[in-house]
Amino acid sequence: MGSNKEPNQGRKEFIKKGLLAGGGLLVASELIKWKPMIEAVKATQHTEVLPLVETVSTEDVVIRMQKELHEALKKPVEEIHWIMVIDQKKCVACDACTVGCSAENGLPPGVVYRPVIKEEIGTYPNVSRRFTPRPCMHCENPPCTQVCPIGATYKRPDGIVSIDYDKCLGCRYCLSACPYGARSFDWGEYHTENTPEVMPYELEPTFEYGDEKVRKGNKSPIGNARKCHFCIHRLQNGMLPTCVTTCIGRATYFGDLNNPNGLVASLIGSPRVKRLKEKLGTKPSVYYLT
Amino acid sequence: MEVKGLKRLYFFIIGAFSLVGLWAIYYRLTEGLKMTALTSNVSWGLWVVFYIFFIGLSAGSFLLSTMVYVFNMKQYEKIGKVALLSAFFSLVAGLMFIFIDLGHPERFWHALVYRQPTSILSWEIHFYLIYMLIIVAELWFLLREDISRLVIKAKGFKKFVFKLVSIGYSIPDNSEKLERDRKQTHKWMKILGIIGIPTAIGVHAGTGSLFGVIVAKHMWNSGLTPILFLVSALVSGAALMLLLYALLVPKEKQDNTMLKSLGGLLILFIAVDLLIVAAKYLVGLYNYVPDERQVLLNMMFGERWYIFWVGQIMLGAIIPILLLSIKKGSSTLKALAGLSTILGIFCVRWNLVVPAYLESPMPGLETAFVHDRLLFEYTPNLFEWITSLGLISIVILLFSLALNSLPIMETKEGKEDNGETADGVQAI
Amino acid sequence: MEKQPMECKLSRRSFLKTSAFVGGTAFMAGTLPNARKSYAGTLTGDNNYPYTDANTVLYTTCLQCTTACSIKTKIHNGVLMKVDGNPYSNMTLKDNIPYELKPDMVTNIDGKLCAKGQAGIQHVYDPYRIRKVLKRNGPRGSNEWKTIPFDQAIEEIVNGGKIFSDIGEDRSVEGLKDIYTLTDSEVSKRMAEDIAKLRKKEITVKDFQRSHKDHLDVLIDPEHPDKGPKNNQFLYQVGRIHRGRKDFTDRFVLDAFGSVNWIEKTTLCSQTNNRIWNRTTRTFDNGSWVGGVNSPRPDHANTEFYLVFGSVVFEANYGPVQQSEPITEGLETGRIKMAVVDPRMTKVASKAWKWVPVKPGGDAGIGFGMIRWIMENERYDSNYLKSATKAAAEKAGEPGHSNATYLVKIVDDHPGKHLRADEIGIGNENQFVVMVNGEPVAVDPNDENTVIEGDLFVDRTLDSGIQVKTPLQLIRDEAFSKTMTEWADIAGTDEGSIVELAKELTSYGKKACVEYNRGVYKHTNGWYAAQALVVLNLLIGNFDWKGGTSRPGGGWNFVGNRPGQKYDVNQLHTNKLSRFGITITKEGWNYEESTLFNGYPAKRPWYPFSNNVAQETWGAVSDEYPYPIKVALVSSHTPMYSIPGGQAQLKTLLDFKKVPLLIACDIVIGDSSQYADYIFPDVTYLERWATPQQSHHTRVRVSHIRQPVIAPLTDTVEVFGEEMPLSLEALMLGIAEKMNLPGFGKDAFAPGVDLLRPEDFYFKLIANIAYGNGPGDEVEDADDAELELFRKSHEHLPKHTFDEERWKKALSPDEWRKFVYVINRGGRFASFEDAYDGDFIKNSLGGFSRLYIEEVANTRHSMTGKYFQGYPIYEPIIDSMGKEVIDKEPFILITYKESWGTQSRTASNYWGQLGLQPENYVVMNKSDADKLKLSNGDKVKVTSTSNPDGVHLLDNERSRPIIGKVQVIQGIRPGVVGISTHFGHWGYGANDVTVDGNIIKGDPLRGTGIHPNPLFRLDDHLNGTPMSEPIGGSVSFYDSRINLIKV
Ligand SMILES: Nc1nc2c(c(=O)[nH]1)N[C@H]1C(S)=C(S)[C@@H](COP(=O)(O)OP(=O)(O)OC[C@H]3O[C@@H](n4cnc5c(=O)[nH]c(N)nc54)[C@H](O)[C@@H]3O)O[C@H]1N2
Ligand SMILES: Nc1nc2c(c(=O)[nH]1)N[C@H]1C(S)=C(S)[C@@H](COP(=O)(O)OP(=O)(O)OC[C@H]3O[C@@H](n4cnc5c(=O)[nH]c(N)nc54)[C@H](O)[C@@H]3O)O[C@H]1N2
Ligand code: SF4
Ligand code: SF4
Ligand code: SF4
Ligand code: SF4
Ligand code: SF4
Ligand SMILES: [Mo]
Repeated sequence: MGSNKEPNQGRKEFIKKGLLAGGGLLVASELIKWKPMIEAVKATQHTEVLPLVETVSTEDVVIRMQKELHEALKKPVEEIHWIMVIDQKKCVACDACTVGCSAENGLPPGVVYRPVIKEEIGTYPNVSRRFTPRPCMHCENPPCTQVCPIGATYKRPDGIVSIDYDKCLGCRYCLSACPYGARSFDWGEYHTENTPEVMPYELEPTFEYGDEKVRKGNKSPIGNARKCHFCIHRLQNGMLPTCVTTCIGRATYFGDLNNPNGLVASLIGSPRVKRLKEKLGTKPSVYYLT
Repeated sequence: MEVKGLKRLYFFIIGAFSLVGLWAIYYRLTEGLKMTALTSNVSWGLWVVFYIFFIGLSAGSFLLSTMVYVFNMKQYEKIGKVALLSAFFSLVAGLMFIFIDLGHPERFWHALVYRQPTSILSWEIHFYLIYMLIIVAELWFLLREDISRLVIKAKGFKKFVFKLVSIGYSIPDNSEKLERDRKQTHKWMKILGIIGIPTAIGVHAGTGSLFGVIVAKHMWNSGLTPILFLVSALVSGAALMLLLYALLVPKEKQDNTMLKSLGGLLILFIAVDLLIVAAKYLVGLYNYVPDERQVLLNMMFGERWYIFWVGQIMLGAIIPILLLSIKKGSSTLKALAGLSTILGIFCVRWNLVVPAYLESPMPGLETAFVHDRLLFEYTPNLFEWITSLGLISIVILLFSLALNSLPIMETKEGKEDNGETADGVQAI
Repeated sequence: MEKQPMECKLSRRSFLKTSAFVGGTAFMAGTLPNARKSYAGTLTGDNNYPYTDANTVLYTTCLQCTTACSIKTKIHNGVLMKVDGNPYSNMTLKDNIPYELKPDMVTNIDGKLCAKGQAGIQHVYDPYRIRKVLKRNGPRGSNEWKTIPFDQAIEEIVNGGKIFSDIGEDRSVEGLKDIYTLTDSEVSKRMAEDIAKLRKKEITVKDFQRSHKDHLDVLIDPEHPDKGPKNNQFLYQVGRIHRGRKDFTDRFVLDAFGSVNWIEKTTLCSQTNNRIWNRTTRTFDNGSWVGGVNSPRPDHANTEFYLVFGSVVFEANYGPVQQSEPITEGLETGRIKMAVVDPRMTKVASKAWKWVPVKPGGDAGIGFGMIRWIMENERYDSNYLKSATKAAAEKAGEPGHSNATYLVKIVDDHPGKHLRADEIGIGNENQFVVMVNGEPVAVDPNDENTVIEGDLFVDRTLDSGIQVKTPLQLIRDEAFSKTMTEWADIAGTDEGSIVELAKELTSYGKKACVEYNRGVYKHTNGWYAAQALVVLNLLIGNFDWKGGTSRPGGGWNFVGNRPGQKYDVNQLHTNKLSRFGITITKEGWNYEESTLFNGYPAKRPWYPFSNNVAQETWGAVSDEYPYPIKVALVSSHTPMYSIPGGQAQLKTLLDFKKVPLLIACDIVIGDSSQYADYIFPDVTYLERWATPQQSHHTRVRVSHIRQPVIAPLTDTVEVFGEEMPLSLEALMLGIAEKMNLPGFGKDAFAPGVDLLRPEDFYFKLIANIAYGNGPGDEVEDADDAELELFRKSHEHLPKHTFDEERWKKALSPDEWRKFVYVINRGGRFASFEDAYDGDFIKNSLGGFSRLYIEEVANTRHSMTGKYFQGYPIYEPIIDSMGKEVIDKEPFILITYKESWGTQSRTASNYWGQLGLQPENYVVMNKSDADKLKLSNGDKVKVTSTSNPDGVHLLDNERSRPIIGKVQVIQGIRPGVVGISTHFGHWGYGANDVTVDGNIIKGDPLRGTGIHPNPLFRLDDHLNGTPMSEPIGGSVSFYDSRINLIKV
């Protein structure tokens, strides 16, 4: 008996220990959702935005887009699909969007959300130039969120691919996974750190994702992946993204794809429309008119 | 005395390096990742190279150990324990590298509580855990008897440590029970080994899949990538075993057939590895898809051509094959073959990770916005090297301590009735 | 991009290292707000976004480039965090929002801005900003400095003496008080009047000496009283300055100090353009040509054929922010067909239907080729051109008419003045003559009753023996003097292209337009080339037509000199001095008018039709012609950087004899201010007041204001008992206080109306804007809520910058609410709806246009003694003696601006210039590069005719080679090499400097790239002065030849 018991005991012990350890893990993980909560997004959908004043203009595309933005905000978040349309014929490669975005989001050295790619095509004298602003594509099938081990980057129901700075480990897997090079990492550097004085604008908070964050020490977003987020913080306040408002070629459009009468929906009806690296199946929410 | 002096010196040096390692970790954790030469476009560098290198080493070693414990290939028995132990410490090393590579290492636990089913990395982290548990369990079964003997013998702090490692196992008081326990061990070793095989494959093929699934990097994005990872893991595992055996077991005690068959195994693995590499690279070169062809061309004929030709091909394949083919090659030559292969595999790892980053995913992006942190260029800086050296030292120190105090190079069978701990083992 | 191997970055970050730059203003005083550590709710955050709160917003005006866009700044904890376009302004929102909207309702609307404007934060928060007054602590250019108190600095520059004895310089320096000799307002007035007579030869020098015998000692040279008083030996030179500040400094330099030498940098810039348009659009009033509009531009929003010459429309020009949208919109909808003539494939050229890579300096070839074809094919608008009177224009349905048919007298083969009716006895001296069906008829251009239609082409000798031609005939003769092939050769293009352009231009009625900019007129032949392009517009008569050439929108008059306005600030000047005499640059004077006339050539060129001839300044100082300078103050200008060949005058700057006292007012130790004796810190455009000019590219009125939006970074000083930030204004007020200059201090404007602080001046300008042209034109009153908003949004400013009670005192109580109303919106803005009137532009160019400018034709070149021409002609590249310049070097050097760069201000813009393109290149065509076996990234040394060794002098001892990296492209004409400006700084934070014994390390990133200006061609006959265009005064930027040597 006793001799029989012993090994069983041992085994039981083992199993018990194993179960305890494994079970603990399971329980812990059950407490955490597999996917970020859609409810959470809904809950924070901002309802009290400053209304858009009536202006005389009916034609200015920015005013029109902003009007449509306000309309969209009235809908439940999952019924919105934010998209951006960039007209390469109108883009003058002025880089205002790149710099405007950097300032809006207080971007540190080495972080850029929307560079503008400039290419020269042809041989003298038959030369042309192609300009491709490259924000995050907010892919419908985002390879970046797919690979994130903890779901710190995720697609919101309105199509915006976001990063939860407080969750992100900074493993940079998503950086490798983005086919568009749209992500950069916050290395914790300051533009003015090797000059006589670190300047105050680098130490004031920014408001990405509607969150007040000061870059200091090792605090997020330092140590995080960063990228374009369609200026969620502005959208929530009824404002268009900075790269849209500041675009001097009026080459960048923004709006809700699900509004069939909206500007962006009508724009992508053009035969000039294309998306980047379409064959990868990422289904970008950024459309280009060539 | 001679040996002891050498040993002291060895521990002193490795200890000193470990201290540097500790400092480096501290510095890394307080100052952030800006200490590295990484960029947003070459977002993974030396540390990730070491990470996959060690994971590979671990998986390879483990798989070799299963030949003993699962497939009962007795000829490899002598390296069974050391294979497991190095699998364990390699895994530890790999995880340490991934830990310091995190932008927010203090949040490492997020990886355990949050997860993402579509993420290979998420699965991997769990694989690593299970895998770790399996190795630990195996080691415990294998060593519990010896350790409990050590518990009895040792005093003071050592005793405490041994007691801890034994997890409460104490050697039965009669040989019958002991026999039963040993049988139990065998059985469990088999069970754990069987579970371990897919886990280990998962661990490393999975690590390969981390890369293989990345559609953004043409060079990685292939079904062959995980296989390549796996085979090269076997290469590195076999090489390590060869090295350790030739190095740790005193010449007079060495079993020549053991060395030979390990060598044969290594050649086999290398051959398969080369085949897959050839298949993958030649296909990549055949077409004109720039993100693959250009990457390969840069890798082979660019600035760092030598990592491929000297490292991956010479050190990793040709030299070991030549050395192992010398009929009457001494064990030193064999050890050299192992070492050469391991260095070669490091280069293989480098080439798996880094070159794919050096081509812009969107032509023109490299000049659209310019900053050091956006370069498509990467040379690990001194700090990264020092940190790596330190981390590796820490692991080697622990490994050596374990080797030094545990009867790793002994086979139970050999000393059936001898309740003594092995003394003949010398750490390097 | 140089490969920058990452070094192990072990250096710890240096937060707030103490440095000599750091003054008393600690802007980090407040505590940093804590980042909330919220966990669960962070998926989308808590919707924290402060900037829709109107209290965080202040509107002001940009000055990263000269365009001056209206901006909206967003401030957090007193720190400027974001700059956007002001939606109230038509400059920054196409359909600008109604002016009446309350500011707190519209914070969610942002206008547009360019990359430079967006990066303004990094301009103001430049870590190399200076905070205290710096005094040289070693030889000039040694970059050794010490900080000294403001009061001491003022004391020293005013009183002079052995002020550099502390560093072992024994010389005694004349202070400002020593040259401020003419101090009596009455005397100055009388003398000025007599100088005017002397100019007209109504009196002689002897007469002058006799009537002013008691005061001759105030003159520089009593033998040449027209050199003016010694006060003129104070030179104020300035770069990009905007109205408001211009008026403040005018008040100081011209009216209080009584020096004529207020010299801007505009001949580097668009001076020629301004002059041509201004002369072209003048109207005839009582015997003289008056008015004139400086920069008419195409109405891009409606044009259908748009032809651009030498202008980087989307990147530079005066307002990519305004220009781009209507053009891209037109391109997208197919409304606009566009052609671009530029040696480089600019961004605008890349969108064009046709790109003509013209040979630099060859634009006239295209212009005349087109004119020839248009005339040959009679594609000009004769309906417009034949109208000689207002009445005729009206009949023709045209908004204006021209002098196309007004007969010009030809004397000795030289077309001179227009024939006046009295000369042939058919009218008076204020009437011109046209041929109507072969018969001369007297015309009054303003005649609203008589329809007179002149013969377009006339070439004959009148019965009275006077040979006459019409302007059109003259132009035709010139155009027909060469064949189409010859014209094409001059332009380096083919005849077919020219024909195509001409055909297109004449195929859209009035909705076609030619725009040009610096590429055309920054040549020695630029005046005429540009005039030919103006004529193209006139041949289709597109002035004031929707889609044609239109007048810039303008703004509300802020100097208040119109009847019914509030403050006529120029008149409100107690004891104002009347300045007189020749400027150092001899501008606005005919050589022959002066007592210095001594036959041809003059010692140095005179510029009767230009002003602000920047490049002439230092050469003239060096030659002491017309007189030596004693004290120079340079602010917002960097002659050593921005003037072509500027370095040739570095020796002058460093020479105590030529420039005994050199003062700079700068925001940093700049590329030029580093050579000064004193540098006074200035506040940047985000920390100061102004009422900047309007855009060239809006069609409606814009009057924006500039206000300090953050606490100035400079030290605080006390002047007139008032605390204020160190700035150009504080410097001038400080000098004025010390010297008791009129028009500053107590009762400066009028009894009881003081000018003690900048606000006392600027608020009056703003009040003028608020009140407009008198009753009925004023803005609303700000309501209580707006007053509160005003208070709150300015609250973060220190007392010396914002003090409501103090501010109120600068205005009368009834003005306050209107002032606040304007400030709360950043200015006063007309609605976009105000632009058109049917088919016409509402804001007219004046109704009369000139294809022939008689006063130019009637003036001689001071060097050659030859007459200029009143109409466009073709001229090769010539030097000041009229000799054709034929240099041997294989490449023509051109220069250009990038969309994100300005000369210097953007050197600190990490988000902009430093990130977008940290260095510039020697840009060349692939075929040229192949010939020289050069490829991307190769380094070449650049040498030129005037700089055969390719060196850039840095001071008396040091120099550096001019080396750049090659960039090989297809989009540039072979034989032409382009080097952008904005790079290669050796000051402005790029270099190490020593202040109070501490070395302040420069940031080498700011010094990267190559600076082309030391390479430009100098005039063979002038001491170290670049070649220039003699009428408008432009410096030649694109006529230099260079060689490239691989290093
Ligand atoms: N980004 C930016 N914008 C600015 C400024 C700035 O500093 N930066 N400054 C403002 C100021 S002050 C000014 S004056 C304007 C100037 O605005 P622009 O006149 O538009 O600018 P530049 O760069 O001076 O223009 C030179 C252009 O002429 C071309 N070019 C050179 N030689 C010839 C030639 O012989 N014929 C023709 N047809 N083209 C030629 C050059 O290739 C180049 O494209 O820009 C204003 N806007
Ligand atoms: N190669 C080349 N040269 C050019 C041109 C070109 O296209 N190519 N363009 C030409 C043209 S169009 C122009 S308009 C000129 C412009 O030439 P500048 O007027 O000389 O140049 P800016 O860039 O306006 O800056 C002048 C200096 O003023 C100082 N500064 C900046 N901000 C402030 C301030 O707020 N206060 C004070 N007190 N100082 C300040 C800085 O030291 C700066 O270097 O350059 C000309 N030079
Ligand atoms: S563009 Fe890149 S970062 Fe953006 S959603 Fe797609 S994969 Fe993710
Ligand atoms: S860096 Fe952050 S967001 Fe990206 S994969 Fe890692 S944890 Fe996810
Ligand atoms: S949407 Fe916002 S975050 Fe994205 S590129 Fe535009 S400005 Fe940047
Ligand atoms: S702001 Fe608009 S026009 Fe300028 S580069 Fe960006 S997208 Fe193009
Ligand atoms: S165009 Fe000039 S004034 Fe306007 S935003 Fe850009 S830099 Fe500022
Ligand atoms: Mo300019």
